[in-house]
Amino acid sequence: MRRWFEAILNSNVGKALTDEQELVLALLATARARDAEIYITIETYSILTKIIRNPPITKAIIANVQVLYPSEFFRRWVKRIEKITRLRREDAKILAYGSLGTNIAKTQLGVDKILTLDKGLTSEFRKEEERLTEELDALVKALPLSYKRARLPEVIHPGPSELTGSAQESSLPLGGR
Amino acid sequence: MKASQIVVRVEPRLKRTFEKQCEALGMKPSEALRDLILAFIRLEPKRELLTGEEPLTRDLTVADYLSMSEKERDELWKKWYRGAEEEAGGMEFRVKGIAPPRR
Repeated sequence: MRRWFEAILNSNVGKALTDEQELVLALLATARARDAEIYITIETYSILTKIIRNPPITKAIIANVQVLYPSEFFRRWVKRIEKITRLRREDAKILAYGSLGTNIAKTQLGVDKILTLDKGLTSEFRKEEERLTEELDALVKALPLSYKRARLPEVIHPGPSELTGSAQESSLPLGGR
Repeated sequence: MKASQIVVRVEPRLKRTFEKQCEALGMKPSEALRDLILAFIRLEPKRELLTGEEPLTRDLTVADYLSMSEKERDELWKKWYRGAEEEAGGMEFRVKGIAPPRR
């Protein structure tokens, strides 16, 4: 998300983009070409709308995304993620949004993929994925029917190869700040 | 906006699908892709470049932000995130019905 924000600033003051910013823009364009939905978290939305005081810049992002809100049991899942992994709270929340985030209509649960440039998040996820899956399954068993579909998302540190992939994916959220 | 080049590598199958869609709509794939990318960074049609002196936050201009180091920006986003988190105040929302499978 931050790389996208900075790509907007750089490109609109006439500065060259960094490799990471170019990568993020290429991913966004690819997602759009695949008709994928792109999400930011409510925290990021709040930063863009309440801290950033430049409406055109905020609009350039908000016009292209939907917002993920924490569903019931979100905090419980964040705490479990924190117990299982060595992720910082902020990263644990990003991961939790992938399973128990919901859209504004509250009709969706989680997302397919989290794209993050944070290698720490990706590697910690891969290391603990099996246990996280078990813990999420255990948590979901005790939850109401609406939450039975909760699953772990894929967590991807994108490179050019991540521009490929299965065409069945329908969501491409941007993780991290 | 200053001319620049971004190389987009796309999976062949997706590329073919994209090209077919563009053809059906009478668009050139390269231009369609350029427009897709611009849609994520363009502020307003025909808007001139920013000078950098435009406000970004209450205390920072765009130029102030861009002159910060990577570490300073990282700290700033952490601070912003903490503020946003506090404002959210631990709210949670009930999911209505069963979400349709998306995978």
